[in-house]
Amino acid sequence: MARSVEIVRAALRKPALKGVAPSQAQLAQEQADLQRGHAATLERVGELVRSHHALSTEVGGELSTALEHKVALEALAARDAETGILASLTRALTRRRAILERKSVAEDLVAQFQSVQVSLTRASAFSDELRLCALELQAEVDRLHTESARAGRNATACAGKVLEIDAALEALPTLPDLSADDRARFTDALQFEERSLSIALELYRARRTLCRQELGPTRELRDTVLDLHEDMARFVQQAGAAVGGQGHRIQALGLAADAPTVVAELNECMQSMDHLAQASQIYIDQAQHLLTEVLPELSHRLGEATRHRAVAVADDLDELSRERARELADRALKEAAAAEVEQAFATERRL
Amino acid sequence: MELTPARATPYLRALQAGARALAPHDDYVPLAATLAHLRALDPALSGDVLLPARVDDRSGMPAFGWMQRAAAEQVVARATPPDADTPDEALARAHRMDPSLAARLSARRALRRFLRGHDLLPATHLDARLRRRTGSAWSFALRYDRMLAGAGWMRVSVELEGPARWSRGLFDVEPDGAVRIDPGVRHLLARQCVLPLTLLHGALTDALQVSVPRLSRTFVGPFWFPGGPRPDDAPDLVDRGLVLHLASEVMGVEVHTAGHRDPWRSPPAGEAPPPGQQIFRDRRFAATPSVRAELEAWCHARRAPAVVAPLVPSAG
Repeated sequence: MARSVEIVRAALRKPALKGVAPSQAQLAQEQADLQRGHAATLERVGELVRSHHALSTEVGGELSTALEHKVALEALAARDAETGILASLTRALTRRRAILERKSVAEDLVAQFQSVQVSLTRASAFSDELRLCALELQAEVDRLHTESARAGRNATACAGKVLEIDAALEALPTLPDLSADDRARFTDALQFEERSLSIALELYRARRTLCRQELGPTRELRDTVLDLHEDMARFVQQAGAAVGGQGHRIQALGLAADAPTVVAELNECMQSMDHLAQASQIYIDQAQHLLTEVLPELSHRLGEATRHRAVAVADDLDELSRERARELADRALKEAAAAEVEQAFATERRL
Repeated sequence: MELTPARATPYLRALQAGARALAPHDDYVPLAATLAHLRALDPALSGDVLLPARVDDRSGMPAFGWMQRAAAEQVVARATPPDADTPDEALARAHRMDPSLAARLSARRALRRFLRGHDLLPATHLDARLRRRTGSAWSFALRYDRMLAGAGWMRVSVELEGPARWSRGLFDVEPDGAVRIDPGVRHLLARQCVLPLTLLHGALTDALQVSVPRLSRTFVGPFWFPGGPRPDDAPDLVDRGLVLHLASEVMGVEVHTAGHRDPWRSPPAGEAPPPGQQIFRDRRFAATPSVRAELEAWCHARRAPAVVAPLVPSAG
């Protein structure tokens, strides 16, 4: 009798599961939370993309304004080059008025340099904000992977146990030295445990499915933000270096901004700002593309995915039959085996 | 030249100590803004947000670009409400995922909080105030501040006197006492501010058709430190200690006796101040104890005796 009882007790021993099995309500709540999270993240990414677009347009605008000074410098150089008698006479007659009307190119350039610097400062802070958002989305991707793997392991453990209980139920009528009462008691206990584990198995599978469904959109959001961050960080670095270098020259040369030779040098400064403005235009176009095409497309796909998403939880878990439990357990074990094979292939590919 | 972040902090603290020791008066750029600007640049407050720490190749003062990054951050800080600063929770999350990003976010937040409450040195700035009005004569005081590559932080102070009709359009006094300045005056000063004092005086009287009874130009800087820029005519002690300059030249009717107490720079040859005015120049120093006595001896030997203020950088 002791051996028969031991067989039943072994079958009834709880499987080693990580964490508490989710309830159906919890699972529904998790799904709702994830969808809410997605909506919030999408809104945040949308704001980031809009800020990205506004900032890149602002930097481009500042650079274009800076380049207007190039035209002023050219005019100054041309006027200083006038050497005729009439030009000299005109200069003498209008000198006093001209003194106060004459702009200090350096003064305007310094002001413009400050404006560009402010835009770059904003862009730099924004770049860090993008980095933080990308990191948070990556953490979410990682969490979904971990949750999915844990749910998979728990489902496998439940499935093994379900099959073990099923085998015990099959063997129960033939076990020796058991009274009819004991047999009835053990049958009830095993059936109860089998049904409980089948429900847990179904819920773990549902959680795994949910996590996997969420992975794709979350990964896409992360990649969008990563793209934004990479673009912005690269631009800030290039623009910062170029503008910083010009700032020093503008400040140094601006001291004697009336001298034609210095005007020529200042003009050279503006040439490199010109290149930067051209690069900035490409960048603005990319930001425009993100704002008008990538984001709406991503938003659309997320909406579609949410509408079609349904967690594969049985409608009536209480009605799970033994046959259905066995079928579920078999499927879960097959899925686990397939996942292992897939992982082995992935490892081999990496090698 | 570029300082490593580890070297930037002691460099900036030494500059602050020097500025404090010399206690510049109103003819110089404001001390409070000077100290605040240097504090903002300090990686101990702003982390790597304002780096790289570049130093002007000739003056040894913080380079224009470095100074301007703090000014730009201030513009953004003052345009952003404090509650939009990165919250603690976001910092904690960032710290778990990327400590270097968290450090930068935290430093930017600390810097913005600091910048909201402190004024900085402007790259270029002109202000004017009405000094007095006597009968039909008006007197204005102008202050033009500018960061000057190769020299340091300059302030040109000008007193102007003329009949009331003269100031119309150039300097208009608002009902609240503020003075609206014709932008041409700023551009004029920007173009001419580095001329020798007598020529600057001539340019101002000529352009504004006004008398200039007092004109001064001062500099905070240069700053000599071991490993920093070393002018050919600087004394050898530059390699052994820290020396901050405070230079001033004043020309005006109030200067009764001309004087030249600048041991480093000679006056322009053939200088002729306007009738009734004299020019007085001096250069003061703050220096670390290791070179103070030697610097005083150098000044004495060059017939410009000066008391050298002690420059003792604070550790904290």
